[in-house]
Amino acid sequence: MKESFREMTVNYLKTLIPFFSTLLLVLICFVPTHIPLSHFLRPDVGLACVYFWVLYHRDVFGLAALALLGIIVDTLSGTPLGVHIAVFVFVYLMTIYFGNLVNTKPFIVSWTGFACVCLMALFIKGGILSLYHSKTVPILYVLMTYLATVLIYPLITKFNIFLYDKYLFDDEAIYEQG
Amino acid sequence: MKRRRVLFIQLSQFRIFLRKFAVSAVVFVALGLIVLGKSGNAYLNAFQSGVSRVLNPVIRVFELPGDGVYFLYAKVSDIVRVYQENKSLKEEKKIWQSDKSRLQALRLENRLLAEMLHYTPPKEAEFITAKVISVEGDGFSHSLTVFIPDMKDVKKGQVVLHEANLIGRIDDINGAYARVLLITDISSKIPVLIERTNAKAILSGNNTDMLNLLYTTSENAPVVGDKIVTSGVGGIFPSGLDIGRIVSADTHEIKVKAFANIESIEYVYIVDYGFETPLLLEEEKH
Repeated sequence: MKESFREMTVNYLKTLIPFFSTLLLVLICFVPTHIPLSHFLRPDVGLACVYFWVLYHRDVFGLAALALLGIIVDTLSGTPLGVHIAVFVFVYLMTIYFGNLVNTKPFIVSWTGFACVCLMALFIKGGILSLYHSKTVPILYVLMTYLATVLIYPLITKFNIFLYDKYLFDDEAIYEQG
Repeated sequence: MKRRRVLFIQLSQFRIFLRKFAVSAVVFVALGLIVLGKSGNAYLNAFQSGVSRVLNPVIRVFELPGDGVYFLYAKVSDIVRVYQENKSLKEEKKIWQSDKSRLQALRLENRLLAEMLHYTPPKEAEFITAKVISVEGDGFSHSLTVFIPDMKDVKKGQVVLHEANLIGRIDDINGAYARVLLITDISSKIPVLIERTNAKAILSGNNTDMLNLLYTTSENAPVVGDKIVTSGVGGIFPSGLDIGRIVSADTHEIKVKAFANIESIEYVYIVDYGFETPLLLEEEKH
């Protein structure tokens, strides 16, 4: 059945939901809470979202979204422009090549997969920044960010699944295929 | 079965090639941006400022409910603190009263001596209060974004204080928002003095809540408890601004804890000391 212009527009806007929901979560993370230790334990929400969307629904989270998100995170965090793009592309490639090992398995497996990818991604980010500043970034603080990110991953997944089921899941397509 | 000849590249193969090329292109763009950033490219900075200008108002909207949560937290902790402070303030008041009369005598003496030397006092510093709207303080970078409705008096390089303590300097200005590079950031290096010995050193950030004191001499070896203030060398910071205190002094590493606590910073002062720093001159050239 041919789609009307309105339907096409709505469907296109729906594909932007993953990017904007990720952006929303990233922006919320930068809001100061003034609560002790809160900034050291800030999770890298962008990383978790990129992993989730690339692993399960790569069609709605492409390289352009990845690059734009990287630029935004670099600007907000004050890190040199390009660092987060490189890190997100690394996560993208890792998820594409090794995603098949985890994406049809129980959640705990994909969580473990995320824990591995996240550790490597944060060390790559730390490595790039260490080279850039000619000084090693504090490993303990990187590990704190890592722990916070891995621990928050189930919540991020829950939120993203909710978004997918509510706005992106296409019943009709399945009905037509079935 | 006879195989069909393929004269042209199949569309699916072309798509795969395109996808592979896209990944490589994004990687090259990322690395290119990092290298350009390191070389201090003005266009790149302008681009980043533009992105900040768009995003900061959005963060400010999110910050409002965050303020509500903090308000409750602050009220509870304030009540506890008020009782303790009240006790110590009573003690302090007694000391201050005796100091006050001594201070008046010294002020008079100072004025007389200044007149004898024909000394011209420096211009009074002017300050603007700014609200913190975003904090970045993990292992990768340490910066704040502040909101100032009237930005016309704020310039790149100006000193940023929290209460009376140095916390950083203005790194970037985007409309009504400015990014503050904190002294704890890995790229921050400040010329300082150890107040007790007057020995010069460099205070370097490392993306933790501790700072490293570098280039100290063995003659004036710092000890735990020494206060660190700005030296004024380099013309970016004026001399005598409080920064922190030495908390450990090993032979290979001296750690300084900043007086200002990044987590509790809600408002900051952006201070104009009226002198032209190299950074300000550089900004004006652009």
